[in-house]
Amino acid sequence: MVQAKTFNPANNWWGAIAAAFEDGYIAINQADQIVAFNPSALEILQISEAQMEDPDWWKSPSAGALGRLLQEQKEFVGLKIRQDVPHKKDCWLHVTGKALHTSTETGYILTFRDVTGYLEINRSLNTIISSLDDIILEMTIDGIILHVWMNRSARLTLPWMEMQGKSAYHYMPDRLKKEIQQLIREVVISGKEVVRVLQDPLDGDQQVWYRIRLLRPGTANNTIILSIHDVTAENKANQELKEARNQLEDSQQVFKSVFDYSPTGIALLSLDGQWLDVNSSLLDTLGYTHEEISAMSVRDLIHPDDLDTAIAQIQQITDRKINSYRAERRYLHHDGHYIYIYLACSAMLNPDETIRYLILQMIDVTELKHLDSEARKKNIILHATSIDLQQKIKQLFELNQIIAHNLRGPATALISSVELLPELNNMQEQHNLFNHMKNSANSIINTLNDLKEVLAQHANTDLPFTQCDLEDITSKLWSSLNPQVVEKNAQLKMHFQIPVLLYSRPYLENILFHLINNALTYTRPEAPPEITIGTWQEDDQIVLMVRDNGIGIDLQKHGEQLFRYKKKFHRGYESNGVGLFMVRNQIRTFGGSLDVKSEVGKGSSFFVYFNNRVLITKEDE
Amino acid sequence: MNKIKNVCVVDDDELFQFVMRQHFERLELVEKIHKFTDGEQALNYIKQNLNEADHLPDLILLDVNMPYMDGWQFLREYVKLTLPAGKQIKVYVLTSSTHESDLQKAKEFPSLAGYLVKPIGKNIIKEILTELLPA
Repeated sequence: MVQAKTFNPANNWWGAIAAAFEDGYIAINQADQIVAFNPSALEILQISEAQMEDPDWWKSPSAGALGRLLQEQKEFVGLKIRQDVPHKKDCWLHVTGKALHTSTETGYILTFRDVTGYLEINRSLNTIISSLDDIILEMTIDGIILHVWMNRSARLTLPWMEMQGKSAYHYMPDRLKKEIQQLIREVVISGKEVVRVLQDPLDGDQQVWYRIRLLRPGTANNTIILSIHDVTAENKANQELKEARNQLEDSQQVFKSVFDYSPTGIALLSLDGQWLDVNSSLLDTLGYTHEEISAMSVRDLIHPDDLDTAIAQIQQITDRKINSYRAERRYLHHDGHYIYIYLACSAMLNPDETIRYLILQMIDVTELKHLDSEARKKNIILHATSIDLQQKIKQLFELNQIIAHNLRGPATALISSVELLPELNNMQEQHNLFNHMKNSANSIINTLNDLKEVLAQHANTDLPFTQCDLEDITSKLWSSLNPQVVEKNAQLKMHFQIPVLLYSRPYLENILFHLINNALTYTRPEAPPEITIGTWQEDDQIVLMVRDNGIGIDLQKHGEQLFRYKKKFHRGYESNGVGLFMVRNQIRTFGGSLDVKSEVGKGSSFFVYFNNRVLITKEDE
Repeated sequence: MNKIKNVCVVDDDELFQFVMRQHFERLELVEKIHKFTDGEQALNYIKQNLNEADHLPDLILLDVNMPYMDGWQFLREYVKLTLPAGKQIKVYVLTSSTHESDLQKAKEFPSLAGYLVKPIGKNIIKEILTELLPA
């Protein structure tokens, strides 16, 4: 065992005392020589006797903080230093330095104790206490602060550390002081813990809240433990929660009010189509009672033709591809008929984004639907009427032309002849003039008759429409034209994609007769007539075509006059120029039109466009 | 006394043709009156005589409304023709129509000498012919 070295090794008594010290000590003389130390010093510093006695070692970095103190030789009490010690991770020493004076010599002594373990415990304790609350005070009931433990994040800015040993009230605003005094009284009287939440305790005009807890660790001593905790975040969260709860209550009330009193039918639906809840408007719309509808699935009410679309749309919501949709559907009314419903369906979600239920809103649009189809029908009639009117204006213009040329012409000639008559002495010339006058008068009468017929056609829009079998009519006409057919060895081909046409039969017969007759008339001697008759649908019109391989018409020359009154284009054919005029007039009577394509020497194709809108209108009537 | 050599009356109205011929004959101002009942016939005649200035008309009275080729169609073809140098033909459109649209159409042909609305009396014929006669 190492013996304690002393100033005077002969004085064993002092050596024995020094050796018994638990604290380590090291003493040096004026010459900085180690003159005394005890085994505890070696033990604490983990050095050998040789190192201890070596002044050079003490000057080396290995001597650490203690080495520096030994050189400084200052007097102090209870200094905590960190010392580097071999094999120890952390070593804190509680050191006291003192100058030594004897009658003959001066020296310096360091006594030290390893307080590492104690500090560790203390630090853990501090940590534990601080983690409980932001600030913990131990104080007397008079308000003298004994101990302070503090969490670094504490925001309550009082100089807590310097308050130790002083009256806490000295640092507090009046309001807080009174509050604390009151709380201490309560704790003392009740003996139980007291908790208060104070807003802005330091009157700093801040939106902060602190919770203060006071309790007595025991009845024996007169100390109070006071803990302060910043509860601003909790408080704010609480307030927000409260607000959110209020808002939720509000919106629930709004929803309930909307649900109960809305004129719109509203239902909550499960994903499989069960009614979870329905409002009275919905019951009114569909005519069921609450009990009746609860016993049904929404699928029972949707029109079978609308069901596929409905299922597809709900599926899209289930698949989360859409959040809502709008649709028009037919729903079965309690009375047994279907009504048109305009509806909006949206998904109500759970917090985890799954679908809680569907919200269905519906209004009855049956009436609107009727009005709409009524308006559409009126629009069609209007459109047809407009086309009809345009045709009628064209017809009027044409009639005007006929009056100007075909009536007024011969009439003016008659006037001129009356003027000439007295000048004619020769009987033969008079006779000739009378003959011409007679012809002109006849021409006027003929034109007037034609005009009468045209006007009769116009007045004939009430003619009954019947289902006209085109093949039947064509075949009969063909037979009636048999002499010409045989004479010219004519061929007929029929391609009726539309076999039956709703039209005025006499008109259709007349139209076909003229077109076929023309085709049989304007033929080329070298080509036996081939006549093709067909029908088809083109956009919203039915087209009737009569095609021939005859002489054709120079449309560049005659196009604009083709269907005019008494216009002729081919010499040597029997024609009065009235046929096509009448045909077009008949077609126009029901809003249709007549068109032609032709190539000289190859043939002509006549196309009759039947105005379907007019036909539809006629059908509706 | 000078006479106008050739006059063409183009009209399909036989009565009109007859009356015109009577007037011309009575006025004795025209050597030869040519009658055509449609534009095509008149056009063919002029085409055939383009090199025979003596056969070409000095005056054409042209009706509008005729079969095969009407007055306007005739005019469209006629203005394309190249007449012998120095040859002048006065063309009057005669029509029974008083429609503005026909009057407008006449303005498309600036070479027209005039636009006359039927009935046309002897006096008008006389005026036209007198204008034509060499002074």
